[in-house]
This record gives sequence, structure tokens and C-alpha cells, in this order.
Amino acid sequence: MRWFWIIIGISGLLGATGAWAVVEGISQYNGTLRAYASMEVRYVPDSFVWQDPEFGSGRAEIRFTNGSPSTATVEAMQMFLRFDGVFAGATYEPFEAITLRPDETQVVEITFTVTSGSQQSRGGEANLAIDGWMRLDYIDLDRTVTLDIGDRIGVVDRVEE
Amino acid sequence: MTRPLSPLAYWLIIALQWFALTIMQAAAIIWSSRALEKYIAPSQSTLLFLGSALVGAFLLGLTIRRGVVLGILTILFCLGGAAIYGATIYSPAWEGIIARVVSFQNYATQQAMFVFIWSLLPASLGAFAGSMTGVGVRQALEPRSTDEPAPWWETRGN
Repeated sequence: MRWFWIIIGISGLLGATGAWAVVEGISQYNGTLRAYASMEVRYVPDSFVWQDPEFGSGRAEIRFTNGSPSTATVEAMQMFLRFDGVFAGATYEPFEAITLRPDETQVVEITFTVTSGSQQSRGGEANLAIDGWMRLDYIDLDRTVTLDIGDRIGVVDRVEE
Repeated sequence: MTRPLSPLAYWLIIALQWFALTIMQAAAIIWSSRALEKYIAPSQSTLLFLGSALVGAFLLGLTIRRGVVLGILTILFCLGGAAIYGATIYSPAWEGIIARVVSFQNYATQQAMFVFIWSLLPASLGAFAGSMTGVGVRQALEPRSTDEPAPWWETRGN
């Protein structure tokens, strides 16, 4: 029986080493990705303005800050506009890719189109918020990273002249 | 003279051995896969997980005499290692670091399937070699007189 216990012992040692390596590997992977995923997307306060008095469309400025250690390209982005948390519209115009070096900040103007007929009349009184996703391509990484984004706008009744 | 193991104790020990070796296989895949090489340092050669599949299945082959059980546990060993690897790739989405999108789920699944299939070949060879070597090891380390009955796990159930 001795051989049996020797093999079981070797297997146990390999398993214990493996368990440490799995935990360390997951920790390193998540840590690295967390550093790369630090692209901040924020609504520029007071920048939202309705483009027509019927609240059919509005535009807002969105600030991108690349907090990652690598140059990043925002390849694609989809944002939804919500009135008191309820879907009201989205960005329907094609997104033009932007590239940011580490610590660089860019402000991009985004147009939202309200497509929910039942919500549209509440445009000037509802609490506005945006959410969605963006796909990033980093020079240092071999695959794209998709991040959830979102921010609060607040109540806006200002209409563009 | 060593007391023989009860069937329950024997299979519990085999289950623990399988679990330990599966964790080892998962670690080898994580540290040597191309999908994680930009995120984990130092990244190892892909030979590591192929070698780990060979060695792990070899050790299983040394302790498991029943061919069917060895075959099933060898496949589960490869599958378990690949599943942990797939879960590792997808873990940033569970952690909330990145978005939970279908394309990322598909990527993790595809990578896990890829290493599972690649692990099967060395694991099959390792299990076969272990099973063959096990006979020799048992004969060398466990000389048994002709009157002594074979352990229950070396005989077919009837």
C-alpha cells in the first residue's frame, strides 16, 4: 500500500501548489484588467440641452479620461437615455472612434434621440440619466474590453435656441 | 501489514486525488494559456498544460485500475481544468470590472473548449501509461503470494 499513499501524497502536493497558482493567477489577471479598465466616462455637468421644444432630441457633452497605463481607442459606444429610470431614447448616430493616450481627456458631444412616444412629453420634467456600454481597444492588450458606463444628468428643461 | 482500505475510503481518496490534480491542471492552463499571457507574469509555455495533462492522468492511471473509471475521470480531469480556466477568463465580468456581454461569454467558452480538446490527447497517453506502469509498480512494491486474493478493486465485480 505504500506506493499508493506516495502517489496520493504527490497528487495532494501538486493540488495544493495548483490551488495557490490558481488564486494568484486569477488575482493577477483581475488586477491587470482592472488597471486597464479605468477609462472614466462622465457627463459634463450642465451640458445637456434639448434640441427642440417637443423633447425629440437632445445633446450632451461626455468626458472621456483614460486612466489606464496604455493608449486606448474607444471603438464603439452605445448610450441610452432614461427618464426617471425608464428607457426613453438612445444614441443612434454612428460613433466616431477616439484614441486617448494614458491620462488624456477628451470631451465628445453626443446626440440622443427620444424614441419612446409615451415618455417624450416628460422630457422637460423627468430626471434624466444615461447608461450603456463602450468597447475599448488597448495597444498593450490582444483583445477588446467592453465596459459598462452610466451617469446622472438631472432635470433639464433648457431648449437650444 | 497494512489494513486494507474500505471501498468507500478508497473512492473518497481517489475523488480527492482527482480534485487535487484537476486544480493542478487548471493552474497549468491559466499560467500557460495564450489568452491570459498579457495579464499574468511570468507567462509559461503552452507545453506546461500539455505536460500537466500527461502527468495528472498518469498519476490517476497509477491509482485507478478500472479502465472505465479511469477513462471517465481522465475526461473529467481535462473538463474540470478547462472549466476553471473558462471561469477565470470570465471572472472580471463577475467582479464587475468589465461588462457582461455575450461576446465575452463566447470567448471564454471557446478558449475553454480549445484547451479541453488539446488536453485530451496527452491525458489519454498519460492515463494509458499510468495504468500500464501501475501494474509494474504494484508488482514491484506489493509482492503478493499466489494464495493471497487480489484486492477488490483489481477484480471485476460479479
